[in-house]
Amino acid sequence: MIRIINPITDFFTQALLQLRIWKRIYPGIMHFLIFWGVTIQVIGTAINLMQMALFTPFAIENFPRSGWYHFYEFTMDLAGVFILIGVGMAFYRRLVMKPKTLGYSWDDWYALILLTLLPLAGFTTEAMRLIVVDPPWAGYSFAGSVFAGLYRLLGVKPESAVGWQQTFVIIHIFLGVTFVASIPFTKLRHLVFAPLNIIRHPRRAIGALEKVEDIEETELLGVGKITEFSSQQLLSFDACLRCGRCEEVCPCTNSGMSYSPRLLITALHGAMLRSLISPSGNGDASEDGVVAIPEFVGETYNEHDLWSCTTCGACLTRCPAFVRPPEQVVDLRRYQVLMMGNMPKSVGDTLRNMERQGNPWGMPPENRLNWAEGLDVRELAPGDEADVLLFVGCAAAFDERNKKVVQSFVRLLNKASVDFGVLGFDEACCGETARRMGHEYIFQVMAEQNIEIFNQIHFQRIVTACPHCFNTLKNEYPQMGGDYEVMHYSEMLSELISNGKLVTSKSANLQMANGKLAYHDSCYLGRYNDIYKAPREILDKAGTNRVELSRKGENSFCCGGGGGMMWMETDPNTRINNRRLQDALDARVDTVATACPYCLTMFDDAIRSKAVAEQIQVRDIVEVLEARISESDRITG
Amino acid sequence: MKQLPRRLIFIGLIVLGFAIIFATGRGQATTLPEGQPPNWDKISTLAGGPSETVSGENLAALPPPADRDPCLHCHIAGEIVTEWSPISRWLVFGAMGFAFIFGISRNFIVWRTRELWHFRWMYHLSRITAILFILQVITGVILVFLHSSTLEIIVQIPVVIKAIHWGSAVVLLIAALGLSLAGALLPWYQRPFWAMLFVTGVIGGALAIANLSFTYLYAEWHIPPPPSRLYAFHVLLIPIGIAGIMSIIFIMLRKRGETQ
Repeated sequence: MIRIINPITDFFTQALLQLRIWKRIYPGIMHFLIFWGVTIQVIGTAINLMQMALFTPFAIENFPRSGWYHFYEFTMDLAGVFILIGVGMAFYRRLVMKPKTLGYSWDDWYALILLTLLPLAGFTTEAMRLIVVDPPWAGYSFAGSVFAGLYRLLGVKPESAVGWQQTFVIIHIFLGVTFVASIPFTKLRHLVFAPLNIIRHPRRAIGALEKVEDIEETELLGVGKITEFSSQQLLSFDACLRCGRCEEVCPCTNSGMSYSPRLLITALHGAMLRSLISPSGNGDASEDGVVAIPEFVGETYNEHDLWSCTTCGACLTRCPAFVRPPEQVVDLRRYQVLMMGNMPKSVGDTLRNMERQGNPWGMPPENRLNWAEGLDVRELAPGDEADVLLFVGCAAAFDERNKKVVQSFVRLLNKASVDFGVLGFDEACCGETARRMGHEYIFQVMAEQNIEIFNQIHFQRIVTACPHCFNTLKNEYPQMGGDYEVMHYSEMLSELISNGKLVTSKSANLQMANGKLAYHDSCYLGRYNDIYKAPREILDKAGTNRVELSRKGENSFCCGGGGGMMWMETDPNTRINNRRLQDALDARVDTVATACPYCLTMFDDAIRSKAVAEQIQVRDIVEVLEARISESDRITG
Repeated sequence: MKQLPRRLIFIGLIVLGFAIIFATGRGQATTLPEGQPPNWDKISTLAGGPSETVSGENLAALPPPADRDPCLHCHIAGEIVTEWSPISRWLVFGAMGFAFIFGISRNFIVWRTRELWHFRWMYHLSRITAILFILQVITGVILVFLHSSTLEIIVQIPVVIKAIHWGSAVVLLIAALGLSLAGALLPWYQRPFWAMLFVTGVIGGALAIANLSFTYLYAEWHIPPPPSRLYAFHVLLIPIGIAGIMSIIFIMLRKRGETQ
C-alpha cells in the first residue's frame, strides 16, 4: 500500500506544489509564477479547444458567454501575466544576478525566450480582438486591454486589426506548437521527466546505498559505462535540469574543488546523449556497426573528481527532481575499486588496513579494547544478556582523542545504572568506510560478521558512539538481514536526562558555563537520520550558552570527513574542514560541540592547521555533559 | 518481442474502447460560410451606440455568439475553413504530437533497453505498421456498421473515426508506396522512367487529396454505393491478405529471432 501512496503524495507535494523549490525564495517565486501560469494557460486552452469538434463527444456546446466567461478571461489574463513576471525574474537572475551554480546553455535561453514570446503573442492577439470588437467587458481581459491601449496609441485601427489578429493567432499557435514539440529535446523535458523521477525514485532511506546482490557471483560490480546504470538512474539524469541547487550547498564546490554534483549529473547526461541517443558516428563504430561506448571515468569524466564527494547528502535534500548524485558516485567508485583496482593511494591503503586489520586505522585488532582500561565495562560473550549493546566503533576504539569521548559516555552510562555491554574483540568495523569508498565486498563481509555476533547476544537495542556506524547499522544492515533497534548516543543520553536518571543540575546556584558554544550538525546524524533535537537538548540541559552557526540543521555544512574522505590526501587549499571552522570563527564561539568522531577529528585538524587553538576548541557533546554533571556533583558535594 | 502479441491486443483494446466512445457520439463539424468579412458597420454601431439588446442584454457587451466563434480567441469573424484547413491542421498538430511522442518514447526506450537508440528505432517500424493496421481494422469495422446504403437516412459518422481511419491509411499508404517506389526505381530503364512520370503526376494532384480529406472530415459524407466487387475487395479480401502476410512475418520473426 505504501508503495502506491508514497509516489502519489510525492507527486502532489513535490511535482505539483514543488515544496523543495521553495527552499530558495527567489527561484521559488519565479518557478511558481511560470509553472502555474503555464498550467492555467494549458487548462484554459484545452477548455477553449473543447468548443471545436475535435474531440467528439467531449465537446462544450454552450460555452457561457457571460458571467463565468468573464471569470475565465480574467484568470487566463492573470496566468499570462504570471508567466511574464516569472520569465522577467528569470532573465534578471540570468543576466544581472548571474549565480555561478546555474547552467548556462543554449536551451536555457531558448526556453525563456519562447516563454516570453508566447504570452506576448497571445496578449497581442487578444488586444487586436478587443480593438475590433471593443466590448464593455474588456476590463476583465485586463492585460489584453492594456495591450490594446498601447496598440491604439500606436495607431492600430479596427480595420487593420482584423488582419493583425489573424497573423498573431498563427504566430501564437506556432509558438505553442513549437513549445510542446521541443519538450523532449530541450531542458523543457523536465516537465515530463522530473515528475516521473519524483514518482519512480527509490524509496529506501537516503542513508542507505543500494546493495550489490550476490556479490560472489556477479560479474559486473558498480558502473563503468553509461549503459550499466539502471533504468531509473538514466531517467534521473534526464530529469536533471542543471538548476544548481545541489552545487549551492555542496561542501566540495564551496571549498573550491572541481567536483560538483551538477557537473557530474550533466556529464552523465551528456554521456547518455552521446553514447545512447545520438552517437556521433565519427569513426566510433567498429566494422559490425557497434559503436564502442567509452568508459565513463577517465575517458569522459575526471578521475580525481570522483574521489572528492564526502557523501554528505546536502544535495539529496535540495534536488527538486530527487536525483541522487552521491549514489552515482559510489556506483562509479565500486567499478574503479572492485573491477579496475584503480584508486588513489590513500584509499588503497585504507582499504588494505580494513582487509588486514579489520579497521581503517590499521591498528592491531588486539588493541580494540584498550580504551576500556580502568573502566567498568562488561564484555559480552555469545549467549549473554544485556539491555543495551554498546557498539563502540573503530574511531572510538583506536583514535586517542575519540577514546576520551567514549570513556565519558561509559562513565555516564554507569552513573545512570544502565545495563550495558560491549562486544570487545568480537566487534568488527561496521564497514561504512569501505562501502562509501566503493569496496562493497569488505562491507558485506564485515556486516555479516557483525550480524552473526549480534544474533548470538540477547539485547534490547544497540547504541552506537558514531553517527556513521549508527546510519549503517540502522539503515544498511537490514539489507544484510540484521534488523535491530539502533540508537545514537545522543538519543540515549537525551532519554536518560528526561527520565531523570542523569541529573544535570542539582543545585540552583550552578552558573551558566562561560563562553559561547555552537553545535555542529553531523551529516549522518542530521540529514540522514533527522536527529537535530537530541544533541541540542543535551547541550541546553548542560547549561551551555548555546548559539547556532549560520549553516545549521538540514543546511549544515559537512566537516569534510565523510565518504572515506577522512583518509584521503587532500589539497590544503580546498579543505572542507577549514571552511567549516571559519563558520564557527565567524559566529565568534569559544567551543564547537560535535556528536561525531569524524567531525571531532576534522575540526581538531582544522584548528591545528589554522593555529587558532587559543580562540576556539572542539569538544564532543558527551564531554560537555559530563563536565557539567561532575561540576554539579562537586557543588552539591 | 515475446510480449508483442499481448501488447498489441492491449493497445487494440484501448483503441477499441475509445472507438466505441467516439462511435456513440455525433459529428458536429461547424459549417460556416467561407471567409465572410465581419459587418463593420454593425459592430461599430453596436460598440459605440446606446443599446441593441438581445434577450435583455446589450449585444456588444457579449462575446461573439457561439456559431460565429467556435474558438473564442482565434476567430473574430467566425471560423474560416478552406479546403486546406483540415489537412493543414492535421499536419501542424500531428507534427507536434509526433515530435513529442517520438522524443519521449525515444528516451523511454533508451532507459529501458540501455541499448543504442541508433539501432533500436528501426525495429519499431514493423510495430508501428502493425498498430496502424489494427487501427484500420477497428475503425473500419465501426464505419461498416455505421453506414447505411440508403440515401434517405443520413447517419452522422463521428469525425474522429473517419479522421483516424483516413490518417492511418495515408501513413500506411505512403510508407508502402515510398518503399515500393524506391525499390522500383533502382534499376534505371524504361519502366522506372514511366513510373517516375506517373508518380510525379500523382503528387501534382495533391490538391485532390486535400479535397478528399475535406470531404471525409467535414462535408456531409454520403454513403458509398451498395456493396460492389471493389467494396468487397476493400473490406474483406485485401485486409485478410495483409493480415495473413503479417502473421506469416510475425511467426517467422518469433521463430527465427527478432532482428536477424
